[in-house]
Amino acid sequence: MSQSTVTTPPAAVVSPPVGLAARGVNRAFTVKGKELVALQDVDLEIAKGEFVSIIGPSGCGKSTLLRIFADLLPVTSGTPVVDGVTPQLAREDRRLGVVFQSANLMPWRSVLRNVALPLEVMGRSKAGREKTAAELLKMVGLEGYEKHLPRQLSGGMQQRVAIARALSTDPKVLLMDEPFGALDEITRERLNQELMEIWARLNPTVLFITHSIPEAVYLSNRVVVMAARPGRVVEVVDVDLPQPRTPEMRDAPEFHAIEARIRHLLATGGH
Amino acid sequence: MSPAAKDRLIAVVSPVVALVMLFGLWELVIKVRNIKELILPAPSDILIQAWRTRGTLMEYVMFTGKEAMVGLVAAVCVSLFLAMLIHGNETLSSLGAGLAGAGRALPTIVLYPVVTVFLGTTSTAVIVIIAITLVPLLFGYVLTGLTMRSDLDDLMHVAGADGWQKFSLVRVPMALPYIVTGLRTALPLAVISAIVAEYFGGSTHTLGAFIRLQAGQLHTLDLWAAIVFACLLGVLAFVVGDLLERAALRRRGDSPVLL
Repeated sequence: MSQSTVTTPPAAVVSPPVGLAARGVNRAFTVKGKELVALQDVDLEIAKGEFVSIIGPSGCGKSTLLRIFADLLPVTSGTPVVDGVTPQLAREDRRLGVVFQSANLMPWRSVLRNVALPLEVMGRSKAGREKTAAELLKMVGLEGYEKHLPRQLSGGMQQRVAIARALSTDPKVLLMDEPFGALDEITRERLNQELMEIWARLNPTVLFITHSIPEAVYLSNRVVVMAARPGRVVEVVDVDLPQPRTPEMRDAPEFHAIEARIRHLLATGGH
Repeated sequence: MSPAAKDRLIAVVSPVVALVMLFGLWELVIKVRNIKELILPAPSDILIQAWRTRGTLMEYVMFTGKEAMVGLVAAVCVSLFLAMLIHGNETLSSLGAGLAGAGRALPTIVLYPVVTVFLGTTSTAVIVIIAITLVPLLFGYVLTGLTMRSDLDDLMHVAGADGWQKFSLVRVPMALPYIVTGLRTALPLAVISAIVAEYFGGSTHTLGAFIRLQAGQLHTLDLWAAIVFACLLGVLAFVVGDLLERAALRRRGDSPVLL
């Protein structure tokens, strides 16, 4: 046994720091007296800084899982972990950013004040939070729109504002619930690219829910395929494509092969 | 002329034309059939009488208008207080919404004689009955606004907002269009309630009391003159409410809400 193995434990024992984890997570709802299993025995480990997508049919519990991580829903049993701690602690420590399906902006607030909202809640000074918000707006390509109201922006621009807002507290974990679902294909691909660049720069752990197979493959290190009734994880597919991703990769045979594999898993539910 | 401008012109001119025709016909029938002033005076005579007695009538309008305003302000305060108190509790909120709905359906103005038992036929009694009439309406609007659920609630939870921040940054702005629309609806109703309550009894220096008095003495011309001023007060209340709503909502790009 060499000196070095004594000071540093063997690599197999050191698990990478946890970005997000679900350990034996179950979640049941009671609807009209009938028990509905939204999530059954979900086990998932996502390392810090990893980009993982969830794809699955309606009712597979993907949004439920995201809401559990966001501390918006309790589990029935099992342990959710966010950035190494419980969802509640992570939320209270402002380590979480959430982007919702709709941009979910305050229509009465300017773009700048929408982005600054989480910082305002934290009690950051007006000058400080507006400086941060302006920088974030620049990053998402909305410089010059600070004073606009949300309704004056297109759907894609509104979703950019929502992303800037989610990033305002410099979160370690970014939870995104079908953020580009309502956008047209061209805008969606452009925002995919921008999201990739933001992720490369800030490197948060990202959990990204989508209905689009190409989007999931393009963005992710891994894709979690889920099935419904009961909601469960079918398989986790590795995306072995080099980083950073470029738009040409969408046409590569490897890309199509992974797409086909996910499509097959979705169709068969893993059987 | 652009089609939009033409539409606007028609929208303004057509009701004016209709009113002029209606009053012209009225005038004509009175003159041709030689109908007695006691039964129905001609519009021209009514206007002349209204102008002649404008000093006294304006005094009554001011008094009635003041009662309506004080009653409205009292109702707004009570409604805001009650709605803020219970909006956080789901059971109480649905109970409150039910009671408010029932209260709007009931002719609460008939409670006026009951109020006078406690307060006498005073101005205070009129103000109290106006407030009683308006509270179900205003409370319903405020409560609906304060209990609106949206994804912003989830956002504020994730951002770690405390109760006060959720209330002041989301609840109140969400409720604002409802409160403003409630006010707009309540303004003319406050005037109507004031006149009806005064009619039943109250200070004699009011529109409602004056109308009752003139009707009782068959002073038809004075009765109609008072009605003209009552209508003017009602229109004023409507216009003020409409301007208030436009001013408050246009800035935010909201549209008025209907309940």
